[in-house]
Amino acid sequence: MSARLLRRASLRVARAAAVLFTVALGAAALPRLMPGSPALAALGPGATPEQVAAYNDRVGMDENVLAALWQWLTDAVHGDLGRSLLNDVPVATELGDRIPVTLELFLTAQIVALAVAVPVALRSAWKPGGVFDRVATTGAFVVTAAPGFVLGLLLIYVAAVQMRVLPATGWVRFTDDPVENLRHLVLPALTLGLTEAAVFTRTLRVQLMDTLDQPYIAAARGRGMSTRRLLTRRALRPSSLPLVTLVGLGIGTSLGGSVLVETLFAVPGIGSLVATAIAGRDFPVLRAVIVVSAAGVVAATLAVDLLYRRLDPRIADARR
Amino acid sequence: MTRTTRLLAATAALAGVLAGASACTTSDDAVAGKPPASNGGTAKEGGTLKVGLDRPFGKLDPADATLTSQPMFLLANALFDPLMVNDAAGGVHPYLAKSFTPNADATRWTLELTPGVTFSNGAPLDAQAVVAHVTRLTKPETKCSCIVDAATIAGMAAAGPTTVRFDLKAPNATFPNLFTRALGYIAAPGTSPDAVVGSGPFTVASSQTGVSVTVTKNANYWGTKPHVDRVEYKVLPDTDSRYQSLRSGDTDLIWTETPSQHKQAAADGLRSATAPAAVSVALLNTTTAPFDDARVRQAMQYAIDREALLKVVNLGQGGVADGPLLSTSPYRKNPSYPGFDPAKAKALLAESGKQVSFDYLVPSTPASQQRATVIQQMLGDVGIKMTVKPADAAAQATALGQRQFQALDFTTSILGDTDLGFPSLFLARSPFNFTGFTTPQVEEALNRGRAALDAAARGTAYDDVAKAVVRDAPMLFLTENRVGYIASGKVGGVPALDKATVLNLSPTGLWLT
Amino acid sequence: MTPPHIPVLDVRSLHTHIHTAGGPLHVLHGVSLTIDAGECLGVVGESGSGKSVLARTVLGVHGRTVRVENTGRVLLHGDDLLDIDPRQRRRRLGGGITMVHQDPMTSLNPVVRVVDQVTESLTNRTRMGRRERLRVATELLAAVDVPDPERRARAYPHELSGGLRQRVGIAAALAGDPALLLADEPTTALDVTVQRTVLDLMDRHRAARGLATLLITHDIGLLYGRAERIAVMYAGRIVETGPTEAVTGRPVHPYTVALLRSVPRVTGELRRVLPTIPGSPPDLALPIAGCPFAPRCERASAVCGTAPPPRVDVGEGHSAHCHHPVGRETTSTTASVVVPKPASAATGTVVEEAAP
Repeated sequence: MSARLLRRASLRVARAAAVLFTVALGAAALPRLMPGSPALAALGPGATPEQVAAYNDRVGMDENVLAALWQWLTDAVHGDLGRSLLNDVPVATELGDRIPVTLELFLTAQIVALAVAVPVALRSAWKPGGVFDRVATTGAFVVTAAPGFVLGLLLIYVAAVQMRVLPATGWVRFTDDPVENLRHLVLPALTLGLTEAAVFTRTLRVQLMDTLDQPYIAAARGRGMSTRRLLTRRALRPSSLPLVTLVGLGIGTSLGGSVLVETLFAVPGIGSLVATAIAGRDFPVLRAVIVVSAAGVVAATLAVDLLYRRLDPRIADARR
Repeated sequence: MTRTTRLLAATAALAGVLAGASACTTSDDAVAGKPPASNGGTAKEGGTLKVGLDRPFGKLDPADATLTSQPMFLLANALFDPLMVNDAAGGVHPYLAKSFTPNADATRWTLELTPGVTFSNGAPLDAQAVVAHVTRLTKPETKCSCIVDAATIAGMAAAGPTTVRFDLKAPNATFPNLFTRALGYIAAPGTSPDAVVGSGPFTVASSQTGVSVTVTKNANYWGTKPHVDRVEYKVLPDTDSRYQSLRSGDTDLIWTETPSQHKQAAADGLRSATAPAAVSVALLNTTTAPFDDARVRQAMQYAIDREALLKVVNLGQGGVADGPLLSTSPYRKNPSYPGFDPAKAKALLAESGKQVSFDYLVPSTPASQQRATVIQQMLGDVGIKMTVKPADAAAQATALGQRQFQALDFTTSILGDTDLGFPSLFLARSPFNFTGFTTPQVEEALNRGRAALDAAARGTAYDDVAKAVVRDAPMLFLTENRVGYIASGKVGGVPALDKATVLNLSPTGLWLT
Repeated sequence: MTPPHIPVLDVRSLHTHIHTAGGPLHVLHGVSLTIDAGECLGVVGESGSGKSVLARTVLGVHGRTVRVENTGRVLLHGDDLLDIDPRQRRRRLGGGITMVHQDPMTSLNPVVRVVDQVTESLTNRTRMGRRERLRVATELLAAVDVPDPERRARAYPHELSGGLRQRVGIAAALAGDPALLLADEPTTALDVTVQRTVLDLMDRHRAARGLATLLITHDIGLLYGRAERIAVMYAGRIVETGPTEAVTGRPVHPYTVALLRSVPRVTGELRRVLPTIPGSPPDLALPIAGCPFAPRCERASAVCGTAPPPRVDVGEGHSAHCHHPVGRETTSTTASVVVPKPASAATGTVVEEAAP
């Protein structure tokens, strides 16, 4: 059994490496792929030909993609991810500063999302068409339909401008001041979390309704189980697979950062970094973020796979 | 397009253009540190001023074009001092410099520095330092578009401890104007190879590039000491949340170019200090169809109702633009610009015999897109088919730099300083002459103006250029936009800026009540 | 003097309506039955006869979105289940009444271990630690003849065969030591070879604990030798009821006769064509004036379509509702229909009908 496990694990690793390699290749080819002249983007349209030439040299516009990739990989192994073209800061430093911020924001948002979605979905699914369900479904629809920044601005208006209990924008590091950090975390995490909660709720509700119609739920009720226990301990787990997928995917994609929320609230995470980098064609930054993001997605997919097996034991055995 | 890209798109493209050739003006009182007549009562000492920047900054180095763009002056002035500043009269006068005098035919300029000035690290800001600064900034490896300006310098040398002599390749009566921007914000190499230091009233306490920077009082400052102890600059890229940040008290002072916010400020208990310091034009590429035909260009002038644009897009704030000599320019005489006349437009189009349709590149700011939509409609009414094409900062810079466009919506503060703006936009070989417009007369007038040490003579030359530009319409002048600062009631010392040509504010004159 | 005899289950004139999008369905019409301790009552009928609804109504657990209205009384040890509040009712589940479900594939939660499900009747009332749960579960599984019970307890349902799963279902039903066991087609989904063992198992426990059992099936053959009494259901009504020998040996209602006739025989003359009952059960949405079986009945006459059939008592608790009961004909068309007794009642070797 352990040999099989080993083989399965190494197969997974090989697949992950292949995915990452392809992504890195694409990222290395970025200067050729993105439209517009990066030199003019960075230097402005009045740049002289000498400036443009010097810039193109730095960026490596014409170099061989594979050679560039190899160079990048060997440097990366030593922790050198290049320097930002826009402000010359080492990319590794920028990532090191910003990834924890985005992670903190993302994880808090996911917690908020699940804390809202699970009870709401449970209650909705138990009495579909009832008052609670109708209100919740409408709410979820409104949140999903409205652009993200509408919710954010609304929260800023209520909490910061009117009630003055929370800061409107900005960020303080946790290591500098934990209390201020949490205060600055609330609004962006809520904005992100509620938007996700709407999607989670709908997904979970559908699955729950399906599960609750299953005979084994009626059987458990027939043994005298209370509604609450029935929902949380017997109905939730079989319904949670699609939700787990969503959360897992979210982890990966959010390393690219939630551009919108971070820009709105001026949170210095990966999202706002990416926004600036794209506008300025900052390829070293983009390259690093793309590969890191891809790594995040791959890791999250693996984690989701493992979680699947724990959640639904039939999957583990089906693979035999 | 998300708000983010809209706002951030302003950065690269505009920065390069604005920085290199535009001048900056301010109520020079503010820069000099004297509290102006307007608001706030008596100055109080101490406190931390919180400023919201509308775009990320790069390196804190004048060589980085972003730092000396108009919206970022509030940061640049904290760390560095400019040799010259724009004044309300439309000229420039010395600030860090003591005097900047020409020879008889404006081919040699002599700069006298204020003695005894040091950088924050103690090094002397002397002639050598100035020479070193200019040399560094004009190397091709740096990203400063001032490289183009410095091309006029044939040679420079320190002719004494505080005297620098510049020899120019051709006469240039407005050479000192170049030193109101990057070239004039003197910096010296710092301790680490990346950092530079300035001589300004504040020094950097901490910074995270592109996110925030905190500066504290410079104990060794040579000039008038600032009132506040610290200034915290935070990058707040989203227009709406930046304004809300001000309202909620998280920020004390912001820069904004959104008309609705300036309109709203008074109702929200905030103070708005603005000037029509940015002009919106439509650049027409005269080297390709359909705008290689002057009649088509002129038809466009008649087809557009600038008053309507002002009302809809600018909410009536600012004014219509009458040509390259702005309402604030001291050289402005009696401009006349073709009024709204659709019949005439149609006639001109018929005369040209062409069926006109083109792509209009638009940056991703809400105002630009609004403007484009309105213009599209107006042109449609006279039979011109315009397709609106959004272009992010990079695409716009590429289109301009490579002259790959037909028409482009362009907002700039270059023309705030006529002496810098005119050569940039209209000289045949200027890299900023995006429209490709040139005639021997215009070229001659520009060179004439450049060499004229007498302001009146310059004025005549510029007037000739302006008339030609309005007649041949390589660019359509649309609106002069109100831009500037909004401050919370807590902030004192905010000067009245409405007469300013270029908004250059320093934190030195501000205090917290 | 003997104390008054209270049956474990006493259903009196139960009418059940189910509310659907198309209007209310009258699914149970005046059903009355009793079951004593230790007794097994078999309820037999086609699908759609209402037998599953009867079980679910007695249990009190319908589908999640099913809205039900009941009149009549359902007395468990004298307490009217229809009259008490839901909380009280729920308390009786697991301890007072339990149910063994039809499909062992779907009546066990696939992501919950057997140990947790089999002890639910107990853990719903009292907290039990993990070790205790395992111990109890092992005992319960051993009692239903599950080999290697501890390992099976730790397993997930999908790791067990169908027969084992049904035993788990039985064990789960018996865990709370109930007084009344409802078995809704407990062997329909199982292999023939396994069916008998499972039913024998249930019989054993019934005898040992004095369980009252309601055994629902569409296969009358299963009831020989297992149920003391039978109730035949058609269109939501009990059309005939009585001791098993009486009902199967001397059926009175034409439907019962037809049902018995359609049971395939191992012995006797080889019949190539299985007799079926022509027609189909009536639509419960429409009100029925007379006898619901009339359209398909060989013995039907005009009165059958207009007047509800009267109760006919044959003696010893054997009765039916019919205008023209068999053996008491007023018409000449049907002579006494002789239904051959099956070869061995004890073995119950009847080939299972194809499930309807």
